[in-house]
This record gives sequence, C-alpha cells and structure tokens, in this order.
Amino acid sequence: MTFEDFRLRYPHQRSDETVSSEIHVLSFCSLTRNLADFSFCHRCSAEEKEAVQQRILQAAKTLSALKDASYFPADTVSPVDLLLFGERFLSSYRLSGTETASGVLLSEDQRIALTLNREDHLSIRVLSPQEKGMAVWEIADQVDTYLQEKLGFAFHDKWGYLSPSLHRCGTGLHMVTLLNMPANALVAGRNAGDSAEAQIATLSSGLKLQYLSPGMLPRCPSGYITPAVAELMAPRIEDYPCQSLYPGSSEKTAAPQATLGFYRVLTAKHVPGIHDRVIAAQMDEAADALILREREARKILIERPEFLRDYVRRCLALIAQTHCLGLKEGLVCLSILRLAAETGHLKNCDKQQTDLLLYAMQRAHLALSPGVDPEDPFSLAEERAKRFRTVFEKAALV
Amino acid sequence: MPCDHCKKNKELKSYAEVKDGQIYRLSLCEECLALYLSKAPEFSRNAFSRTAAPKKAKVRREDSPTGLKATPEKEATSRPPDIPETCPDCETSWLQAKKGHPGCPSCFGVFDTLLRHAADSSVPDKARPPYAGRHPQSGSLHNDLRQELQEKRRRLRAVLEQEQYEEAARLRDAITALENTLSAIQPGEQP
Ligand SMILES: [Zn+2]
Ligand SMILES: [Zn+2]
Repeated sequence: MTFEDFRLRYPHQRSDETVSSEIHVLSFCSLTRNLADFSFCHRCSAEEKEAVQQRILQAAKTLSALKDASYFPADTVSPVDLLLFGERFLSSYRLSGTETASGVLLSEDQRIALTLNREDHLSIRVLSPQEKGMAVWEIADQVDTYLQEKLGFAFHDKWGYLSPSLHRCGTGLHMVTLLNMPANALVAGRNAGDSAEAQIATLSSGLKLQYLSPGMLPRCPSGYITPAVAELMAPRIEDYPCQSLYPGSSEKTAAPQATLGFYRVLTAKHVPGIHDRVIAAQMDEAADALILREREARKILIERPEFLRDYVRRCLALIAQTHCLGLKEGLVCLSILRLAAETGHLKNCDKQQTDLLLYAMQRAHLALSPGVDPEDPFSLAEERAKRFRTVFEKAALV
Repeated sequence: MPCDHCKKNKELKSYAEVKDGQIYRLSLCEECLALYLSKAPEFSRNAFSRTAAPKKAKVRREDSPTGLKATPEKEATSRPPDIPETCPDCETSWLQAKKGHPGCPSCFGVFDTLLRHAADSSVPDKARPPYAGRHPQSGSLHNDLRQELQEKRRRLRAVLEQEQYEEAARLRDAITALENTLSAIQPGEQP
C-alpha cells in the first residue's frame, strides 16, 4: 500500500452481514512497549532510534498478520497527512516529521498499526469495527507475545512493562469502545450522560465514559478565528481549532466542555494491580450494558416516531441549506441520521457512506479534496457541508 | 547511627519526602523503609503529611504522628549516599529520577526508591498495588487459547450427547470466536 492508497482508501468498510451491533461503532486496544536493550526514546541517539526502528520492522514483517503491512516514516508524510492516522483512530500520538526514525507500520486492512519511536519505542494498536474489548485485546496480546519473543521488551517484576512515563508503566494498556447512543440522549434528556456514567461506575473503577470531543492533539497553528468572532459566527461554525476527533484522550488533550453529537467513548487504561484480561472483560460488560440501554431507549423512541422524525427533519434541513457545517453540527446530524436509517425512518441513505462520514468530516480527510485549505476552518466547514449534502442528497423521511 | 523507627543499629537507607515544599528526611533500616513505603497503618504517610508543619516551620519530633524524626531542609540537592549520581547506562541524573523521569530500563534498578516514591506521590492516597498483568515469560496466550478451545470442544460433544441444544449453541458461538482469534496469528509463527 502506498501512502496515496492509504489516503484514499478508508479503513474497514463494513458490510452489513458483519455488523454485530449498529450501536457499537468501533473498538481499539493499544499496548505500549519499550525495547529492553535500548534507552527510552528521549535518551536515544539518532543511530539508536534507527536501530530500534530497524529491529521492530524486521520482527514485525515475519508476523503473518503484518506481512503485507506498509511502513510510513513520519518524515516522508506532510504534517496534515500525519493527522490521518489519528483521524482513523490508528495512532494516539502526535506524529511528527521532525522525530528521527518515527513512523507507522500499518497492515493492509488498517486494523493493526504499530507506532514507532514516539514517547515509547512501540505502540501496538488493534482496531475493529466488529469485535469489542476482549476480542480486540486478545489479538493485540498475540501480536505482543510474538514481538516479545523477537525483541525482548523492558519488563520489571514490580512495575510491569517499563516506560519513560511512570503512569504508563504496567500493562501499557489503553482500550476504547466508541458507541453511537442518540436515543439514550434524546429519551433521557440532559442527564442521560450522567446516569450512563453512574452505571459504568458500578461496574468498574478503571473505566471512563466520555463524549467524543474534538482532538486537541495536533497543536493548532496560529491564524484561527478568535473566540469573539466564533461567537458571532455561532452556530454556523464552532471555534474548535482542530476539527478532528480523538477518542479517549485525557483531559489535557481534549476540550472537556465540548459535547459532540451523541457518540460516547468508553475508555479503560492500565490500572495497577489488575490484569489486562480483567479490564478487557469489564470493558465488554460496560459496553454491553450501554448498548442494552440504548436499545431500550430506541424502543421508546420508535413508539413515538414523531419525536425522532422531527429531529431527522431538522438535520436534513441543516444539511440541505447550510453553506458551512461545523464539526459538532455534523456529528449530531450523523448520529441522528444513522439512528433514523437503522430504525427504518430514512430512505435512500447509503449506510456505508454514512459510516465513512465519521472519518471524512475531519480536518485531514477534508483537506484531501483539492482547493481545501486545512488551516482555514471556514474552508473546512464548507467542504464538510458539501460532503454531507452529497451523502444525504436523496435521503428522505419514510 | 540507629534507625529512626526501630532504633536498632543496622545498615541505614536514606529516604526523603517532599511535602508542601519541605523536605522530610528519614534514616531507616531496610525493613522499616519497606514498611514505610508500603504504608502500613502505623506509618500512615497521609497522617504524616497532614500534620506536617506549615512552610518554614521546624518540625519537632513530637509533631510527627509516625514518631519519626523528620527534619525539614531548604534544599533538595543532597543526594542520599546509596544512590549514584547518574545511571551508568543512560546517564540520567538522580534528580531526574527523583522527578519521575527514568531514562532507560536500568534506571528502575539504580533509582528504585526514587522512582517508586515519584510514582506513589502522584497518587497520594493510594499505594501502588503490585503488578498483576501478564508476564512476558508466562505461557503464550496462543497455547492457553488452544487449551481453552479443546476444552470447549470436549464440552460441546458432551452436551450434544445429553441433547442440551441451547448450551450447545452457546458453546458453538464461543468456539467460533476462539477459532477466529486463533487464526489471527498462524500457529506456525508462534516461537
Ligand atoms: Zn528500623
Ligand atoms: Zn538509566
């Protein structure tokens, strides 16, 4: 796969047969590792980082799941294109072309991604639109087991897998499940989120339920509209500087006040003293509970279709009439229209294209179109509106 | 010198804790230090820090609820004698380690106490439980899953004989899931 292929080929386009739950959008699991024979990245010389890169790539190529994988060195990719990895949920890192021997090794199906030489030597990520926590973790664990034999990861009996950041020492685990829960929000109103969070809290202390929020990971260059101007322009365009999504980011990297659509992000990170497998099982338990909750809310909505149909009318009108579409508005429309299509209230709506808008509406993906300026939020919002119009052009209430 | 806690003359470890901008220095024997770091009730570090004297006030022995002699210092720069200046492998300084920034895997051996303390102070009211995740030397997951698969197949045959079709359907699903997971990595590749 060339980088051009990667830019244009969206990941895991799902066929209807394989969709286990329309509520579950995707799950991923990351494991961070460092090679025992080297200093951590920030203490490595350029030559050492090259050696780390070479060793990992050599070992990974012998793994059948990665034998057709392509390696994209960060310094060969433009800064905007580097955002594509984050927007497709393939890497949580702020990739940078100035970092020596850093890059992403990506499997042909874009379901396994190894990020090399960022904060840690290696981050193994496995992503799936079908399977949830445990299944995804098990694949990541197998990749890890295989690479461990070949590479030897830094490990300490008391600390677990070692990392330059003490809070990452341990299992190096980070899991995310993305759920589309519009009915829950519409039926239960504003407090829906809180009560769903409370439900998660009864299951596990290590899990967090967040809204999908705009990613602040790629630092915004200067030149964005000031908050005062954004205020004037609201609700046409919001002042999110980055216009891309990032699930499961910490408070430091995401704007917590921003509630985007009705997508919910369930995250779990390493909890000292708890085995990865237990965390994965708790993730599944929590996700299943939330899915059940959303299903029940959908039943109630279907009994009162006018309520839902009114939302659909608003969304379709917004898409048809506006010249600029903000990230937040777009996501709300996407969330509701997905629900309408799934519950048979919307006709002439291509489900796959609807799904892919989740990627296509973000900054680097918008910038793939000629003439779009990735530094200009208005240009991005214009292109976003155009894409929504194309996908929902013929969509209509049943 | 006797240990600050048990008063026995033993080989002593230096231990320093920063609270409210003050450094509290302790000289403890190995057992007492371990006990202190594990936050046994009689050594509750929370109690220690809560009643620590305000800034610049001298902490007298009786002020410390742990009964430990804690001496505040202005400067944090004096290095405990048993801790080397830098890590021999990556040249990370002991002050870096104290701030919780290890530079290489060896740092975790060289600066064990410093790093442990740095990690614990970021979660002040919880002692870090021992690592309980997977061990790289443990049996491969692939093998574990294969065993699990064999066991499920055996049970499937048994329940089919007993005509428990619901249970059989559940087991079949579980077997398919296991088979899918196993096929993600070819068994031949397992070392
Ligand atoms: Zn003692
Ligand atoms: Zn070191």
